[in-house]
Amino acid sequence: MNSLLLLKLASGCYLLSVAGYLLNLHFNAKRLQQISFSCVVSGFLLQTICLGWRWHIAGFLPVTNLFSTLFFFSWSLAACYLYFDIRYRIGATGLFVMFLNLTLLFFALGRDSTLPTLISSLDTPFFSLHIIFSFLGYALFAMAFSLGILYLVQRVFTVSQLPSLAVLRKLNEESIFLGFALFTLCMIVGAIWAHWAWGYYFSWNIKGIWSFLVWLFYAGMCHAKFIKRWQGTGYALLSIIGFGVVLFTYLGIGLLLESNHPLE
Amino acid sequence: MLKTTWSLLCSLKVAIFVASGATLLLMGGSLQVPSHPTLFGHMDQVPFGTWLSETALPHLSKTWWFWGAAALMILLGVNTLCCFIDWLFNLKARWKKCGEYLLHLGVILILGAYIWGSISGWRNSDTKIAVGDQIVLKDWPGYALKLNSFKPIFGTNGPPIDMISHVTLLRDDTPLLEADVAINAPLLRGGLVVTPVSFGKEPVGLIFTDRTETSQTIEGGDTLTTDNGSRIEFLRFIPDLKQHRDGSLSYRTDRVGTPAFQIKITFADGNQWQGWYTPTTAVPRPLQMAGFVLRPRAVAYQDYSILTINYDPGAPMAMAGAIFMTTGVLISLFSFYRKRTRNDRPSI
Ligand code: HEM
Repeated sequence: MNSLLLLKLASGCYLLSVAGYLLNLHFNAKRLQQISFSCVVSGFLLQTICLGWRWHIAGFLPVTNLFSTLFFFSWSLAACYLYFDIRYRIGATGLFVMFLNLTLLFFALGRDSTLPTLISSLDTPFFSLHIIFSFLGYALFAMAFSLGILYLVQRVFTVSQLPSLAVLRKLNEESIFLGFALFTLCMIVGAIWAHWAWGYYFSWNIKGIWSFLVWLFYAGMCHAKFIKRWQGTGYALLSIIGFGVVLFTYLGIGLLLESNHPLE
Repeated sequence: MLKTTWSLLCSLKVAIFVASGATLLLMGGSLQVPSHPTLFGHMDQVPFGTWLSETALPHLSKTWWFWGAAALMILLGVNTLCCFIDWLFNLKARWKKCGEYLLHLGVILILGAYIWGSISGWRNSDTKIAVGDQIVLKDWPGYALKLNSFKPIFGTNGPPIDMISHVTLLRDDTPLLEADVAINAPLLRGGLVVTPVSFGKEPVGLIFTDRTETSQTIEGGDTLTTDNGSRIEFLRFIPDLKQHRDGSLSYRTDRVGTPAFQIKITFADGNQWQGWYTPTTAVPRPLQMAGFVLRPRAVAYQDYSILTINYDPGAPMAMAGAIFMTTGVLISLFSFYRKRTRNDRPSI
């Protein structure tokens, strides 16, 4: 069996979960919700096995090309969703989050999945930690983006299956904070590694600048929630804009401009 | 007046505005970076302060946003410091929020360290040192770095996977520290950091054999005394010398073409001769007369290592900031939930 088959099976599970959540919007049945959740769990387990397998074969965390980073981004997003769903039972939000996850996998599956060899400067635990924190951070920002959109949907349409506005706001703030915390660790590990590898801890290339911007933006958001006028809708909008900044940093720079972090 | 300024400096709203301003400036400005490689392409080769004053200042129309963003970041640092001081004096629940305090202190230290390093640091990217040589750290009087040995490590499919330079840091010719510098394993001392960049081999002389086929290497700077008492000084070695029709000579490339030694002979009777010896053509008569009987066999190469040697006096402080920040973030991950349960948060 090849590892791509596992990933396709995982995508199938995520697709089923999206279908389940969609049907649940109409039927509002607890059973449907449980089935959809089980699909997410199965998809996540399959994807985890696939990731572990590829890691084992490569001998390093395989995140050095666009296929692998999209794959890892999707795995992190599923992990974050499960954290929130297990903790807060936010079932219906899964429709949007899993749809986003499928989009990432859709782009990944169309790309070359061969495992590239690792260049020596990346052969360090700093690299693995930098990437793990970075994508877990991105995934939490994607989660906040989804919660932001759902907040606006809930405000306009009042969907009974979605959590209340107060819960959505609380969860949005939590994912921004957790994302910021992990992204801070990513920046610290990256800075120490850069100092060891190049002799300076901040590089003035466009990817470096935009990563700093992502960090600064979300640092601002960690405080914006204290300002009454920004709470709720303002915060939801900021989460959406923030994810735009994340996407540009992750994909836009790699695809459109040159940097020392190609397609990461 | 003083009170208003202080409360403004401690204001969270001001912090958000300043951070937003810096974000917008950097966002807009950074999109110019790829289209002006001559301005922005070599920013990492000098400390940021040097770049600002030497490169950015003469091109203000294209770099003004950098000055704006730098000023706002300094303001944000001052703002965070004031907030921190204000907390130290006014907050009761100190232990409950030590995660947040450490995090903010970390930000202040890192920002301060970056400013310090940008002003007082120096960078020497791509410094070439041959094995056995030592270079003086010109920005750090009294200090020198010696390359004792160099060893590349090759992978199974060809390209090198590591380059290990064994170096000694000296101060007034006294060894201070000896270390191996390799990929992801730099030499670190205070704010000094030495990392590997590349390596190579360069021709430095020729290998000769005598009548008994014993080989002997001669490099530029060597001296030989022959059996008839003449002294031959090999003043310098040139790997590829070009001889023009008018008799003039020029240096062609660093690769081996027509190798040549510039030599000076002092004969036993005190007479002297100076000229060129190109072993691939004929042996000059004075060299024959001096009793030089060696035959050239091969080119002698010497390994060299290319290193980055940077000094950032703020680096240890930035590291301390990073440790505070990491600890702060980890503690805040717990206090975030505790604060939420207690509904404890500032309301502005
Ligand atoms: C780049 C600089 C800064 C970073 C990265 C940063 C980061 C953070 C983070 C992560 C939190 C925790 C949020 C939470 O618990 O939900 C926080 C809380 C806070 N920060 Fe900052 N901050 C920065 C600058 C500032 C400045 C300049 C001020 C003051 C003007 C400030 C004032 C506060 C306050 C009042 C809190 C709430 C603490 C509490 O729970 O009572 N921060 N900050």
